[in-house]
Amino acid sequence: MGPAPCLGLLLGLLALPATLGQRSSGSPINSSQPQSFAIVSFKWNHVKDPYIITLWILVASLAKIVFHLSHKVTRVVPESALLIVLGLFLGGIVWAADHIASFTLTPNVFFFYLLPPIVLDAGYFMPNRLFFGNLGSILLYAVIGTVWNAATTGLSLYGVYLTGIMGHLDIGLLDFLLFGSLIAAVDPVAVLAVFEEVHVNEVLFIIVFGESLLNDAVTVVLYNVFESFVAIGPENVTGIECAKGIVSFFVVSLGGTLVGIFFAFLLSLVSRFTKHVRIIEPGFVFIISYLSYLTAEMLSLSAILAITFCGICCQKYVKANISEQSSTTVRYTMKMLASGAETIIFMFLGISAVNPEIWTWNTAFILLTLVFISVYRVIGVVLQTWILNHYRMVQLEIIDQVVMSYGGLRGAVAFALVALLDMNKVKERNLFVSTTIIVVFFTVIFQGLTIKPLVQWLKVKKTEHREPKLNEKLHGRAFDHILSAIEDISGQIGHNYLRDKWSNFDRKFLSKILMRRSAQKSRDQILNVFHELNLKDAITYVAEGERRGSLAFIRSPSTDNMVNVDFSTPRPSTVESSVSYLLREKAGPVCLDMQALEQRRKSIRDTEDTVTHHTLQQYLYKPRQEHKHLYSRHEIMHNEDEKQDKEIFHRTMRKRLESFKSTKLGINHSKKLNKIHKRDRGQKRRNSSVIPNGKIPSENPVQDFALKEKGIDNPVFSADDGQSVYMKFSPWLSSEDTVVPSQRARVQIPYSPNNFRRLTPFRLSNKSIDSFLQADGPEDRPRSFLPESTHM
Amino acid sequence: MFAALHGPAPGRFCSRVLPRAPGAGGSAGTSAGTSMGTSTGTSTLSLCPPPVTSDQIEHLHRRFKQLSRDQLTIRKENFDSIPDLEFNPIRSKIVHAFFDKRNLRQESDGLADEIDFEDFLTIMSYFRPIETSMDEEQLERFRRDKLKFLFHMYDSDRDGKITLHEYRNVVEELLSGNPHLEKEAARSIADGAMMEAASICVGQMGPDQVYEGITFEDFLKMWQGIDIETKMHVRFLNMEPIGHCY
Repeated sequence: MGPAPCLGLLLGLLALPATLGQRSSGSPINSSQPQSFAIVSFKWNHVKDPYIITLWILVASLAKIVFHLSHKVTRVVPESALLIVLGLFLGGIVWAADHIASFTLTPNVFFFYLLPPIVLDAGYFMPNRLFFGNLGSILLYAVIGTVWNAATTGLSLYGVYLTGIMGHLDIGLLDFLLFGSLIAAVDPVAVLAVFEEVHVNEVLFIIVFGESLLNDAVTVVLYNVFESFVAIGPENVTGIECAKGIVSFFVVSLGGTLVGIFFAFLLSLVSRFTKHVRIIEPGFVFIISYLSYLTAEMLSLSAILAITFCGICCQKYVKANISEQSSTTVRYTMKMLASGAETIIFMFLGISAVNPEIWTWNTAFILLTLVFISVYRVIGVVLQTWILNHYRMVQLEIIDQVVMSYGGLRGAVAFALVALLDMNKVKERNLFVSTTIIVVFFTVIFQGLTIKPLVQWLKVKKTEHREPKLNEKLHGRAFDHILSAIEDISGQIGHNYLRDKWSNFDRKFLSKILMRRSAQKSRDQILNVFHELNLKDAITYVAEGERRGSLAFIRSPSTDNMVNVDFSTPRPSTVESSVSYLLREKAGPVCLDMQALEQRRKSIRDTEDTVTHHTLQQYLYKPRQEHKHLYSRHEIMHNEDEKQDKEIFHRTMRKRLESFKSTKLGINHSKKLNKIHKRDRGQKRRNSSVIPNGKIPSENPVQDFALKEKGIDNPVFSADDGQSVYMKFSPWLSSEDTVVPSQRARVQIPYSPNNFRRLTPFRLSNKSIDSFLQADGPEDRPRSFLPESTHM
Repeated sequence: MFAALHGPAPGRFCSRVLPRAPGAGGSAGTSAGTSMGTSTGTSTLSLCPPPVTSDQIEHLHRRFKQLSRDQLTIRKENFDSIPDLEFNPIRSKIVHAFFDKRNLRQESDGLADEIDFEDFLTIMSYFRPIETSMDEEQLERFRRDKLKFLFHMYDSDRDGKITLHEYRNVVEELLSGNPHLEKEAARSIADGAMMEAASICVGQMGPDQVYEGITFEDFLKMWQGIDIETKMHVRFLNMEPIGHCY
């Protein structure tokens, strides 16, 4: 049977004949002709193929769930290894039941359906700057390294074969070289799967990973060249043929890249005009990228390069063009496809191995292959690094070299290529297949298992997950300009010069063509970071309110001072029952949890959107759920009042900003804080996608505290109270205390409390915000300061 | 791709001191390589001397003459003749840095009107890459020097603090390349960054405490964990001067 027909873009799977079918539809239902009209009929054959495919996907996905039930296992054993073992296990069951090994990873399915999503994902989320910054090293490893691996492995095997250790094989030098070329390439899927769990530093990662992506061109060319050589026979291989091979390398790699860039351009251009078809907007990203892959394949260019560069080149423009929601959709879909494809690949690698027909054991050959690929990988890396270190600014240390050598994992690409071999041309195909399987299993399972301890043992620099910092971004930007200026002044063309010129070109021409006008405006990295940080703060703030069961502090006091109370605590009597008081006394726990939340946020950054939307929709302004129950396939009913959301956002920010002048978080509950952190982390692990409704630390102590030390006040939550409230009961809330700390503070930057770092509104359009930064005297300012917009 | 001309081959170092300012125009360029031994008593730099190789010095000297139109010194106006610099949003800050005496000599202040080749080299040496041979202490000093240069660029009134006003200025200039951005946005970004800085450097502040500006110590704190030494360098990649500068 051929590859399964479809299953949409999602996952065309494996070739599957009848095992399951035979077993389950062995019942006579289909065989007997129905005498009359059957109300219900059992049509297994009708749905067999997609059904089995879907089942397999389900099994693989369920397996993933099961793996992650136990943290101990997944922390030690990489998922890829687990999946392979599971595949072996399942394959064993199927084989034991039927003695037919029919589920295999066919090259067709692999190259057409499973590989593209993974590579696209890699390209689309490629850290471009890092990638291009290290492009030189990556290319060297990818091209020279792969050729070196292929040649040395092939030749050495041939050399050993001549000594006769392997016994007699129907095999020639070209076959060995062919084998060498397909086993030489480091596999992107395996590398990604293993390295993502290891978290080595980004330079190291990009080099190994970039190599695994870019070496595809070399692999494809070497493979094709030697395959055709084997086909035409060694006696016909001439110098001209070899020269053709070298030329074809350039054609394949550059051609593939160009195809990718062309489609990236197309994709960016299309995404500029999708404003009115938001719902299919994300689809374009996948369709056009996939088209680039297929086109390259059609032209027999490097398809992996094509789709990689398509992703790399389009990411900037597409991300700027498509809406926030579409962007999220693209991100999730891409990750889902890639991760699903990866799961299936590894599982079927395992299943494919259970097939006695393909197994031909030759101890010497297999062992020597393992030895050679490991040894030559090390030698190659050391040699190339030695050369590179003469030119690199950031030297690659010995430790890095060890990890690079050790990270040379082989994977499904090699397996698919070897499975493609024609039994008639390559006589020892089965030996090659079994050796490849062994090599893949060895590298993925053994090396994948040991690389983590190795990295820890060697103390390889790891990535630090850092929150983006505004200062860092600003300085980074300044750096770029300074460096390019220095190059200009010293009159040389360097890296920075080129980058500067490129970004100029990009700004002047490319962005104008490929980006929406609105996107051009807001597209500035620094602005983005700023926006992101602001948003984060706002979300934490709102989430906090939500968690506490009341968003009273956001609402306007003009509507109802007394209604928006927090019902979760019993009201203190009399005067204290005012909103501001209730809220104020919670300052302590609130702030603590803010930090806890921030901590948690790192893991749940992706839920940001949902959370804001959720909160904004549910709690703010007016109920507007009613008219939203219309169904439409083409539109996701959108809140027409984004303006309103924005306004709320601004207002909130403004209010909080106001509070800066006077806020001080009086207490430092570090112990409690730790506890919260711990708990949150635990919670995060369990359900990382939902903001858990963390329990509020017991309120009473804080309440007491607030009562005792009346001087401490957190106007974050009370700034919006009407004047009346202030007047009613707050001797300590006099304007001198709360609003104007000192003249100097208003000229200079105000001191800032710990948690709210960047609360300036996105745009300081309202005079009210600037007011504390400019030096207007206290008398200019109304006592209870309320910008007009807060009154509804 | 790898054609970077990279200093550290030890044999190629000129001696570990700055060359004296070359004498009259013509000969100095070629003699620069040999006249290195003369120590320059005046410039007691905290920098370890720039490991600029002799042909790099030669190149820079050629460039210097080109910019100064064969004069001994460069004035600010000379930098106007570099066309590529025009599009640089913070060009004035950068040019300024060349004449900032704090960058040139350690214990002086103010702005120089003109700089000679030695000063030019001194500035350039802030941008040299790290060497593998450096030990911890050298690296630390190296890093400090680089950061100092940067700090001086921000601190335009030389009071040892980057005030909000100064920071805003820088950010406005930085973002001036984007015509769509309003000034207000730049300001609020600067404000946000300043708050961030305050929270990093001071942490929790008392209610009447005021953060006046980023001192150099704070600046160092902010840069903790960021590899400035791998970022702030210029590769002396292609020693061919860009032909037409005028």
